[in-house]
Amino acid sequence: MLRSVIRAAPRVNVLRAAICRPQILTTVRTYQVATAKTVLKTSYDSVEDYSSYKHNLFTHRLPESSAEQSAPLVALHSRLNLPSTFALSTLSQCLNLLFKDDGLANNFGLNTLGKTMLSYYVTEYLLIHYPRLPMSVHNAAVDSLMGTSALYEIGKSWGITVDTTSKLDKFLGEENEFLKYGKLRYISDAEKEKVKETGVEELVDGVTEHSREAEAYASAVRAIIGGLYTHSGEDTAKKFIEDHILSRKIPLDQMFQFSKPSAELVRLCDKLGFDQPISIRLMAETGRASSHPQYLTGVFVGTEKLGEAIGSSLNESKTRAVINALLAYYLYSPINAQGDKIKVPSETNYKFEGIIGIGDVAI
Amino acid sequence: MYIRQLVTGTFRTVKLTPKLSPLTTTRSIYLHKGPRVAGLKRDPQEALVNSQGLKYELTDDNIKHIKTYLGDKYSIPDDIVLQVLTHKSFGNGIKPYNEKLAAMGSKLLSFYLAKHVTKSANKDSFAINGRNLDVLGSPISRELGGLFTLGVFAKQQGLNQVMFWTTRNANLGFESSGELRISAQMMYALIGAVNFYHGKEVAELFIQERLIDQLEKITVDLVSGKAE
Repeated sequence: MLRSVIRAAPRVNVLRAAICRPQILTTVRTYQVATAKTVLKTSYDSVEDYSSYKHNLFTHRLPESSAEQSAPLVALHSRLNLPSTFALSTLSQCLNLLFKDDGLANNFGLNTLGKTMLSYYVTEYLLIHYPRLPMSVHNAAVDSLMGTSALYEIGKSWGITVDTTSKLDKFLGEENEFLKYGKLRYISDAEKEKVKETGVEELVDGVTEHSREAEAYASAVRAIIGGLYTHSGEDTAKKFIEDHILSRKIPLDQMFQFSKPSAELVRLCDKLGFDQPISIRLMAETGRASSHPQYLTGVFVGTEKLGEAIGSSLNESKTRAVINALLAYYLYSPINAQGDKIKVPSETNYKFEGIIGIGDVAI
Repeated sequence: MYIRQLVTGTFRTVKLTPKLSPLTTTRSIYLHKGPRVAGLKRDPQEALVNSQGLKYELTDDNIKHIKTYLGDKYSIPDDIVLQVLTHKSFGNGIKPYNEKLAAMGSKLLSFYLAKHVTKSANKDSFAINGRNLDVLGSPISRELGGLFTLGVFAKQQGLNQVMFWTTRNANLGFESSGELRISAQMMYALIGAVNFYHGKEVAELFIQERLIDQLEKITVDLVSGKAE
């Protein structure tokens, strides 16, 4: 008995400590501060002196005179119709992803700059033109415009080719030494020399040869956008993004997947503050007793029809009608008084004419 | 606990008169007060209150911090101010919240900051056309527009005094309760709202005039380990 009392005592203390513990706990830092990429060996005079940052991994940039002698590089420059202000040496740097390429600077900075710029313009385009997209669809749309696979396709269509021959092969084949400056360089010499078994693919951490290639192409495309901004200014780069990225059609209506469409519509109408409840009504039907009946169902709020659809069963037509109503809401794209697309904030003489998305509903 | 004890709500009767129909239907909605019961609609009077006990509504008191901060030059409509202050977690997302505004603001801020940090270059750097891109990807460049910097900024400027959001435990600290993250998102949304209403040029001027100096100070402290 005594033993059990002794054993119980500390428990009481623990309980008391838990009750008496002050409610405001000491601050615990959980925030992870970004760290530098050590491989680049970046040095600087002081943290806030942005101009002093330097990647010591690299020793030089490609001289313009060498870049001019690379036929594929000059060809790519004119194929993309890049302005003359865009230096060929920078274009060559855009195609270099290697961290160890005889000290030649790679596209790390250009890629980062291009990515931030592209992100802004793509987001702005979608938020203004499709303000009501649910966030998951919005993100999928961003991905389909500027994700790795989209940029890979674009890079391929620009005719960028990969440098696959090793130093030794270049020497034996008497290849022009400047040729590689116009090709996409992401495979190290050691890898190039590895004997490959055809039909066998190495898969390490989900990274395949194909996904590495796709990422390399995407990086080059982003870097070219970054380079265009650096050399020719924001307006030119923006035009380039509009022509090459935003001009692509994306099948937004196919990106939706509704798990509980009716519940979502009810909740949405609640959020929009409609006074009257949703009603789903059968508007017309034919052949109920036959093997191929057709039902036309409408979704209404009071006297306003939100959507309608035909189905071969009552349930099917109801679900289709609800989905049509939801799609009509989510895919809304504002137009101005003249019936044209409205302006985005980066355009001159911008005036806000659209709407701002109020957010998705939880179901 | 018996269900009868739980039921302490009010009944609200709504009369519905469709414009074209002579019929009048009556809907009775039971709004529940007290502890949550699955399937019962909660009384908005009680549900739409933030952790400080402030009611969700468009009042001068709720939006005055933001309105004074923006001034006339960068003013945005009152209902948008309320949307800026409302997080997705509040009321299960039933009120307009700031997710889309924040998406716009965060992208604009990152882009502006990328331009800002690469503006000048040393003689011996690998500058391209006078821009030093080597600073991109460094801790300072990444943290300038980061959650910590923006969250601390909002707190310092007193912009996060009124926010509508739900936390698991309001008694925890600034960072662990999630307030830091929500404040940062509110700041992104604010930049986004200025961009929506005034265009990119003015929004960039807004960042330059009102934010950048303070953001740099906070970030330098954070990166050099001086932040508390």
